[in-house]
Amino acid sequence: MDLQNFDMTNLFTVERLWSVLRLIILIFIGFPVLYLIRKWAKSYATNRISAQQGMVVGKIVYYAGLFILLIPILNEFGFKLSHVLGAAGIVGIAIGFASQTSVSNVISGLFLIAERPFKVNDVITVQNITGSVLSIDTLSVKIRTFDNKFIRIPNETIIKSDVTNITHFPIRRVDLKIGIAYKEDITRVKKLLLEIARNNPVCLNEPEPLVIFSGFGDSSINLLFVAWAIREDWLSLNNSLAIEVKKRFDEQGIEIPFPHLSLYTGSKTEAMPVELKGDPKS
Amino acid sequence: MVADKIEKFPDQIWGNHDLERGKLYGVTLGDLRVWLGEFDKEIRVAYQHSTSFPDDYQVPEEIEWSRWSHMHEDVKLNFKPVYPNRSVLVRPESKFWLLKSAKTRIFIDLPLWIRISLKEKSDVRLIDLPTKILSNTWFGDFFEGELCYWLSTHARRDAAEAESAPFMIRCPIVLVNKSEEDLLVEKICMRVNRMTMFIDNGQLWSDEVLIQYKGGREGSQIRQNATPPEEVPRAKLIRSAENATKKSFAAKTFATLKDIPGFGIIMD
Repeated sequence: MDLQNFDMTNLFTVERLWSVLRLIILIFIGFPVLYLIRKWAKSYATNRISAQQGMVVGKIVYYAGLFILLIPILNEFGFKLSHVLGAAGIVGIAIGFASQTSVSNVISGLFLIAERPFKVNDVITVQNITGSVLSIDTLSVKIRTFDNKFIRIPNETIIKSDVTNITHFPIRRVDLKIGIAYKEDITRVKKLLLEIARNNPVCLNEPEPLVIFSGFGDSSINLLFVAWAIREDWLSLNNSLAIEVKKRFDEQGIEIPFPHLSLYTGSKTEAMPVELKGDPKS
Repeated sequence: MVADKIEKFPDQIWGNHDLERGKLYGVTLGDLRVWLGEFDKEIRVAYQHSTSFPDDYQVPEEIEWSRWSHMHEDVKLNFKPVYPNRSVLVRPESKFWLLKSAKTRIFIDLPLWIRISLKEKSDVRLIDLPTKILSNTWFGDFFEGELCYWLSTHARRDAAEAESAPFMIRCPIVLVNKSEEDLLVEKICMRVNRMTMFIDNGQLWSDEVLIQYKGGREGSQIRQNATPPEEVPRAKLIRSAENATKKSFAAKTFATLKDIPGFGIIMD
């Protein structure tokens, strides 16, 4: 460039000033407006549909708005849109080959959004990991476990795995496996268990609590005691039922047997020591 | 809590009551006993539920107190009767059939809740307490529904048959079977937030609930007229409905879980 013949008037042409003004408007007004629209759309969808859909709508609005803003900005800088898109296509193919896993996660994420097996704040179990869903993002699902660990599970893993949504339905069942001694009267025990359920403040009357015969075990008659609670009370019902069953069985003298094991020490070992207590004559 | 003497609250509980500083009061309402007082600029309330209380109002040792700090010189508490804070699933002790095109009028008694508020320009709600503990039940299916209280009660045909129940709200219900099938009335879901409350000679009444059953899985049409029932035309209004947006609305009223296909099949 010939600096001696450089004419400043060429730099500050009316057209160039307009271009700069348009850029300033696009950047300093366009982005805050986009931010506000995204916030409103997210809040609107959250209130009307769900937190998860709100997050998705917010992201769609943001990326669509970003694309719309970037086109005129690049245009102001002299980039031709057709060239940019062409380059983006070639780069996209190259990146696509290089990042198949990421692309798979993105597509899996779309399936997760469409299928909605869970939503934000649901408690799910995936591959022995149980926790509350923090977010469902483009590449992964973020989970907070109950011992407060942060776990990121790739969307592809979730699509390929069994997912248990523990909080999907409003009510849940507590299953208590109980073994009673063979000498006990099953009808009496059943009556007592149903009374325990009836007196439990968090147990639902309907669906009715049930006592189901499970089978004759090695050491006990096995029963399955089932009762229902709203999902928020499940843990409370699970614990309170177990405590009350043990307490009432003790009071009523109902035996909960445990497996009996006979030990043979063998000829090569010494005799088992036996301690005698009290006066043997008496 | 240490107080020299526990004073029994007046029998006419509803309305405003001044609390004397440092004095402990006791009141029994149905299965509920409440102790309350004002100590060191704090309102303190404790309660217990039982079907039988000792005659003296001695405070049990292991009772939990709820406390509210305030800035008033004189404390005035307001006692109001209110409906339970959830819908009540009423199960008549004897279920009955309502033949198609038939109509019947029954009376049920709903347990009352008591609201204790600090009397100010606009009352400040302190606590809502049930005068009878009801168990929970689920009304709906396994996918959606609502948590309700469960009440097993008489469904009387004549209000005069029932004894006066000062801590129960007498509720007249008109059931109309507009379907093409007979209706087995096993349970009725009472949306108490739509109901108005009246008082007549110390007995609390709700407005009449008209439930029109249309059959199948369709919801019933429910209508609340917000006026005293015909038995007590001069009853005084004491509480308007919490949700009085529409006098008539559609809702499931009789459905049970047993209607769901596969109910009763339990897999271990």
